[in-house]
Amino acid sequence: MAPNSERTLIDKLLEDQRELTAAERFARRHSFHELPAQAKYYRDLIPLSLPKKGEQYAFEVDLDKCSGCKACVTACHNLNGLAENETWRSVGSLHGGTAAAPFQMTVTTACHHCIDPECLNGCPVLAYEKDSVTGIVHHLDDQCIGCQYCVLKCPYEVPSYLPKQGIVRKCDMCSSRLLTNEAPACVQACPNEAIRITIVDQREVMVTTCAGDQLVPGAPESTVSIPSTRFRTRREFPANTRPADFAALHPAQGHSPLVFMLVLTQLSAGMFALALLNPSFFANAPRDFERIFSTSAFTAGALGIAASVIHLGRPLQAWRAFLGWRKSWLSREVILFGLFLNLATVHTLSLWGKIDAPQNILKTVLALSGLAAIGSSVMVYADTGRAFWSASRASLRFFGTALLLGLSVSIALAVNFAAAKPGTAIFALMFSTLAKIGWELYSTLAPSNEPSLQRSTLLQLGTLKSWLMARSACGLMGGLILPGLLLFRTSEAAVISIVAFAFGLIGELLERHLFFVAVVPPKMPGGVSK
Amino acid sequence: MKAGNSTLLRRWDGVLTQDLVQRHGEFGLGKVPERLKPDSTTTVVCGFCSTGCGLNVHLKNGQALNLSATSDYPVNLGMACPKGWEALTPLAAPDRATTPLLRNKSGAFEEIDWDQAMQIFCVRMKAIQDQHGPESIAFLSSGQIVTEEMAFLGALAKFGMGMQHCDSNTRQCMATSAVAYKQSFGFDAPPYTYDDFEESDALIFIGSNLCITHPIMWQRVLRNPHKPEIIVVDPRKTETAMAATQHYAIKPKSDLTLLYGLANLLIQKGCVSLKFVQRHTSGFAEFNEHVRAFTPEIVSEATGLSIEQLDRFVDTINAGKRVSFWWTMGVNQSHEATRTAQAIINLALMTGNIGRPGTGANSITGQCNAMGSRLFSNTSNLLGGRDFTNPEHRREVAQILHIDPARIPTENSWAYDQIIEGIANNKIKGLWIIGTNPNHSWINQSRFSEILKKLDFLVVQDMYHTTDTARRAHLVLPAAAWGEKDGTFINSERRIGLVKRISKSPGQALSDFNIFKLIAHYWGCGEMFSRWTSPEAVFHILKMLSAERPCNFIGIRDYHMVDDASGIQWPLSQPEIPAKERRLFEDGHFFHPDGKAKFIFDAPRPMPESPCAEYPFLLLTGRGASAQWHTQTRTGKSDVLRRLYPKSIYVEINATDAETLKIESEDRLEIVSRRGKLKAKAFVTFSVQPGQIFIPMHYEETNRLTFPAFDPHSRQPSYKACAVSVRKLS
Repeated sequence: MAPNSERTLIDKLLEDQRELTAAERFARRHSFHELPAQAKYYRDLIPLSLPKKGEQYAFEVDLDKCSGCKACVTACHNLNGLAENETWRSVGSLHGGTAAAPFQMTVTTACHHCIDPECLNGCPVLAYEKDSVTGIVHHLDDQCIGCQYCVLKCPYEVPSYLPKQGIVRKCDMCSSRLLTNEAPACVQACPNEAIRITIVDQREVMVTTCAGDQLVPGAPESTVSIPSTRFRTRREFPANTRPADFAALHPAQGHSPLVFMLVLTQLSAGMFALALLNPSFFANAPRDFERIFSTSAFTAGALGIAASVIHLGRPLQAWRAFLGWRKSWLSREVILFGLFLNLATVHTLSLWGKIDAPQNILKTVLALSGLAAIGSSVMVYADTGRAFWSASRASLRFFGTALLLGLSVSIALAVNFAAAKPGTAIFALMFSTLAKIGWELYSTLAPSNEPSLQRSTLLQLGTLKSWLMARSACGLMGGLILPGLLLFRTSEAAVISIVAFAFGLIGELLERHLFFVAVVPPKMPGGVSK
Repeated sequence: MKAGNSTLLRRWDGVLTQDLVQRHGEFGLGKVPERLKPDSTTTVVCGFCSTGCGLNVHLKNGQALNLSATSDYPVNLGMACPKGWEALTPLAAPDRATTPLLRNKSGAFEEIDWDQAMQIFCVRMKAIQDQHGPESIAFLSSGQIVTEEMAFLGALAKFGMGMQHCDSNTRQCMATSAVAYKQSFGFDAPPYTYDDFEESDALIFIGSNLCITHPIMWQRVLRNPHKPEIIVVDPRKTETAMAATQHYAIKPKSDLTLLYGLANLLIQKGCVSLKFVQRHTSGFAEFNEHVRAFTPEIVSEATGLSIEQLDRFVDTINAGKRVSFWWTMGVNQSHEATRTAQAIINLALMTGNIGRPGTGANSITGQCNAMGSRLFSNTSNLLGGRDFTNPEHRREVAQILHIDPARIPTENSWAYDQIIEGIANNKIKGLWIIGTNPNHSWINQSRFSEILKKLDFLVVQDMYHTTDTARRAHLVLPAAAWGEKDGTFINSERRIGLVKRISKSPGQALSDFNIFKLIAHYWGCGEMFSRWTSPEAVFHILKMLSAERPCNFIGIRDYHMVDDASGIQWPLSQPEIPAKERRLFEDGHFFHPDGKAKFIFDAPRPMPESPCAEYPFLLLTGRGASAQWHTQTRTGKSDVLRRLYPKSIYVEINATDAETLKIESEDRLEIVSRRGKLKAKAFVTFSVQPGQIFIPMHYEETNRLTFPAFDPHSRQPSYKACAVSVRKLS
């Protein structure tokens, strides 16, 4: 064993290891035009013709054939060239029955290409298009600004956000394949022919979708978006059929930029509204006070809007966000906050004497636009249909924040810059703090019939308990205890009022975080606890 | 999509849209993502399970870009399971072993070069042999490497390095079937072809959750046009049981009693195919005598099935013209596994359900090359399914390999569990582990882990340096993976299929074949393997070794013929491309010297560790999801596969038991056996019976609990029965 020959063998083997010759040795040659070799398996699983007027393509799943192998998920991933952790199809399972007759079933699901797509309705930039011929709901990737509102709007968790690309993407039923009579990847890849494409009559689907209908047990109510997918089975679902992940409770995704956006814009709008309601507030104050007040309010609003832009995957494209105003509350929110911020700018600049403007009308319009903008924020969430985000619940939170923080910051500014101690405002703050936090706790603890609300409660008393406690503690400190102290003490009033505002602000930010993470989104059945 | 034109306000196209644009893939493909469009394609047999699917790899400049299932491969007919679809992803994992690693004095791994690694390997192994005798070093190998590598390893270790004791992880999955067939048929010969799934009018699955374990075989069941009866015997209501027409949820480990009871009922009802039994079998009279004691009443008591259910079961077998019997790990992993498998074989023999389309006593194999291992690993059998103790066999092998017959051990190797006991008793001091992860997968894991400490030298040869076992090694040898080397696998239906190098291995990683070549050279026995130049050269040697044996494939010309034929089932004696699907025993001739199959049977024995007051539950283990493979060293590397199964360990518990113990789904439970404990999330279901719980085997903790019982004939571990207690954690 001479060292030289050893080295030679290792080198030789390493060299051999790097050669790729399989292509030359074994490659198969096929002519360009022949039908895909796979066609013989899926020929009967796709329609021969295009949908007629009033019809569309739809997935049809034979649940009795789905064996839960999940090949559809991976085939879709590979044949569509999706990103590493991106999947457009998922497979969940249903369980139930009795000890004598256990029941389980696997459910493969993707985009339902709804008759009334909620993703499309909510998109602020018109990045969704329901194809007029095929009914396929397309996503225009280059139009998307990455606001992710469709993720909140879709009841089926279909659009998924890709942080790297800054956009959402979703299933397009392999429309370019269907165009050439090739089956979608999932249809091609199901070993059991459980998935096929059919043509459905859109009117018929609409008419036959009744209140309470679900695609399968545990799925969201079909009336929300009228999904086109048909799930078929000859089996009966036992009454106790539940998704495998029924008991799994996970906090929903938090959206810190949106937390700041909501709280700061509400603070800002609240200040302008209070200023309008209570003109005497400025009457006895020094000349500069109103400037400081308005500048503060403007700054908060501007920061809030800036935070919302940070939330976007593609902020540079954000200017298109007004496009969806006909249907999208998000577009409307963008327009109203745009108006509000512009008015706030004009108002503030005019106070500093930079421009002239009719003050009284301006103040009124500004305050009203602020309140309207908060109203549109409420509707952005209410329009998702999630009970935890209902209009009444979101209103109490959002307008409550405007009132609380508006009062709190007004007090702090008055104490610090006007050497005043506005007793009425302090009482109002203490009262509204008690009311808001009291309502929040009550609505968390009060029994509800709505399953998603029950689950939100379980979440807030379980995983999220510390958030709830911190939120309440900060809120009470900033809105009740410190303001109470302020009533009796004058020596450190300046500091106390600022600390009180800081606590109040943190409390509202925590409240808003909970607003996002304690919601329980509707979804199709999942697998055993992910 | 409607050809929308981009405007300032609405962008229909752009870089993001282009990212997913598809083009005609050519080469018989449909549309493919444009950026993954291949310049050629080639079929490679999948490297996960024994189904042996053809994967159509999309290549660019010889390197794999993507893959789909091969449309015309006779095994999978254009389909693949999630593991197959994701087969390329594990190759690109960041924790690939890229250079030999040596544990230094401070206990950390240090990168060394191949020359150093080989010197250390040989010096230390030889030192152990000098001190403790040649048989004091052993290897544990894998059913995941190609046959050519298995044969090289087995020959190198036993004939070149003087090892006596070697085994493979196929002991954990297939030893039972191998022994059962060998004793019953005279050779380890699964008789079926996948077409039998489609030809049967009654399919009987015993201890097999085919939907999840072999989804592509289930495809064939659903393609069956005869509206077959599908019977599933399984304690759990599995996905397959849900899809069956009859499900018999027997008490765990009562299968042998059930099968004898069925045999007895068949005899009582006059359903025996006497002509077949007389002509083609031996031992039926004794068998008849044996099963007489298994009356419906006794069987009903033991299995928990009613007498009506037993009647219906037997009537279904009797009504079927083409009845096929299938089994997997539920049978193979048992304390009386071999006799259970043989009880299934007996049913097929006595009803004449063998050698015809849609019939057979058919073991569904586990790993992609368990069948190659059974014939050519040179561990429990001498090369070519021969016997080490048979001088004639040794002479044949010595002649074909041009070696001195004296180099061939004359005694059988210890089995896996005996090798581990050998380490515990200081008989084995050096261990070489290739492509397997026993520190996760071996039964009663904690003890195994303790025993490893007694080794003087542990070498792990693997594609990852991070497996539970590699982390324990003194020396890690970086191996090329499936897809980075050439060779052949043999699938469940005896089909020899081709594996090709379609991806470059990272860093200094070498194919197992090349590592063996290097070791032979450094060990000083390179001369013995001078003809073993390439996998294909070894394939020709294996052909020679198969000649005159039942597994003969001397008719296969070369790799190209295997590729052109889309895999070739053994036997093949003539160099002509055979029919796509062939089964054995069509002439009723078996491999025992008398040409007959044997009825083999034994009295059932109670399970070694049954539940008691302290450990009142019986733990069943098995495959969890079709996206998980064994210890997850590979499937755990794919983001997509990871989305398809629960991230953390969970335990299925019956809803009635859960109510008693006040357990709800998602609660944290502690499961304790006499050997260890684990924490897992509860999943409350009726799919497991009261008194039983189920935990998937893929999680690292599971085998802390399992009880080390072994089938006495196959030495296969009984993973699926041990007593545990269940406690809710606050």
